[in-house]
Amino acid sequence: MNKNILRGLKVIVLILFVFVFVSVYNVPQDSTKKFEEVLSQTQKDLDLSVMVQQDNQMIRRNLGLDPESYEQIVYYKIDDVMQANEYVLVQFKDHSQQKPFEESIQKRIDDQINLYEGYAPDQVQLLDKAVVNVQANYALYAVDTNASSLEAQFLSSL
Amino acid sequence: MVFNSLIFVFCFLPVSVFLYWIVPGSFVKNVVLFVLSLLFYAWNEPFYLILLLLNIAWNYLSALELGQEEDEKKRKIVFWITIAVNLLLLGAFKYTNFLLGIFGIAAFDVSLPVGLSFFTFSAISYIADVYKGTSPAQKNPLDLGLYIAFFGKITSGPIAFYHDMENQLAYRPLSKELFFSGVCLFAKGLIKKVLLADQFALVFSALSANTSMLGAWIYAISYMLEIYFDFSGYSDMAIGIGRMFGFTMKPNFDHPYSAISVQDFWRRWHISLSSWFRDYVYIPLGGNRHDYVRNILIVWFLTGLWHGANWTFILWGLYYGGILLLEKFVLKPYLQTLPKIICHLYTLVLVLIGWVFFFSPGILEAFSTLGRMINVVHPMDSQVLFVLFGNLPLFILGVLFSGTLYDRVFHLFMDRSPKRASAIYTFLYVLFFVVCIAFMVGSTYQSFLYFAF
Repeated sequence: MNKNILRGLKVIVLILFVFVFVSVYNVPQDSTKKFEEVLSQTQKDLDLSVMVQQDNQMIRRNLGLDPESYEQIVYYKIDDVMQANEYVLVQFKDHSQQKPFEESIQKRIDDQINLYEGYAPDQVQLLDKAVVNVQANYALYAVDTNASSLEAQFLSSL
Repeated sequence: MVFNSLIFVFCFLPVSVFLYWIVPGSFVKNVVLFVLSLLFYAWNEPFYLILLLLNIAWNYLSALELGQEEDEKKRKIVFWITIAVNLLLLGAFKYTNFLLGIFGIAAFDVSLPVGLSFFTFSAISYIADVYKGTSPAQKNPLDLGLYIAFFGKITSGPIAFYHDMENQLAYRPLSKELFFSGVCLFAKGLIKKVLLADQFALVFSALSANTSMLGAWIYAISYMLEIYFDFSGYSDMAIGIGRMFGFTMKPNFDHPYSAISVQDFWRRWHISLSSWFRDYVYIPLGGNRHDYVRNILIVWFLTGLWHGANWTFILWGLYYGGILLLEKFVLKPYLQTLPKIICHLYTLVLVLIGWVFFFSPGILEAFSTLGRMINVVHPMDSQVLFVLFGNLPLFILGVLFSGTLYDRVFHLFMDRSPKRASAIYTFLYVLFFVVCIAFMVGSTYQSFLYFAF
């Protein structure tokens, strides 16, 4: 093979290396913000007065998550069994917790849809629009009419 | 995909062997093996397959350029640029978060491509061999691809040198003897991993929070035995798989815990990595001809860093560099005259301390464990006695099989009555293989420790 062709091919390979590197590193970085700060920024100016903070037992029972295994986690839920509104903010200890968290939340959404299907189509609609957003060491799950606002404020809080 | 998973043992490996043995001709066999290797690599993380293919392409093209270039100055430039790109790639994926952490910058959520350290070192071996003239540039990209990506060795080595593999890439005669010796070695590795390493991993995990002196010793010893059976088991499986496809690779372990000095230990532990650093770093730096102390410290700093982006690994590497210098300049006459058992104990204790740095998540935790090992105020508690006596047969087997006893008995039987010994050993391998499968079905498998590197 001609030397110039070889060099040309090597330049192409180098460009592809850069492309792979950029693609891999084009991911969210760990946020250094404090959990309380992220939580208050996420909730800012939204009317969430009907939401009640749940204890660790409810996190285990409803979400199937072990609260002790996370850096921090809060779970809010509406105090009305006829409505599906709830949201969770979690700070992971390490990134390996992301996938199991997403799986548990997806299971929760599916269970809730099964529960409300048939008699509360508005709640099913709300659950269909549930937000699950994982950003490196933080994640948000929200089922609420304010879910998109919660998500936007969550992202800007990190 | 990992070697100790059911899908590999009962599906991927048998299908690969079947396809490889039925297709005709070396070229088609290499095509089959290369495609299977890419499939194996892409199994869990397909995106990084692009990185592997680019790595092969980069080193293939660079070696061709080295082969064509006659001007020595230009060759040197091409060589160093090629090495720099390989190392940059390794650094970019393995050390970026570590470097960011030093400057207090948040880490990226990026996973390390499996086997990156191993295939980068294989590629550097190839480029260095071509540059030095030990081997000509490989004209066939398929052969080079197979050398770098062969599924038997891509995830955790052994880092076979290119000049050792070169002839085998073009033509490998298949023989039943080699194939069956590969099957036996694979089974032996699987037994080491599933029946010993994974069980020591459970002991190690059970004692992680124990604060007694004996607890700390058993905790460290269980890791010492776990990592040996884990990595030597993996290496046996890798070399065994190689033999099934006609490759012969050098052993990666030679009873390291029977060593009588730390220098002797490193001639027996992860031999392919030590040899790589000796041939491609230590000797080019000047070896023992000049700047010996500097060369040793550089090599061991790099050995530590190669194992992972953590200060504990760097400290672990420098710890060994320091001991080797101490042995060379101070302890050598004593080690030559002392009884072997004393030298053996000396080596084991120093290696054990080394493993404490190796397995600890941070330097403070390492010193905390070492502190617990001399904590005479709290010598033992009921938990450690329960774990120790509950696992006593495991520890006895671990100590016996990590030494030379097994091989000595095997050779003794083989010399006296080869046919009978073969029949007994075949029966034992099959029996323990079945037990391994039962363990693999009954529990979730533990990944190999060296996958992290």
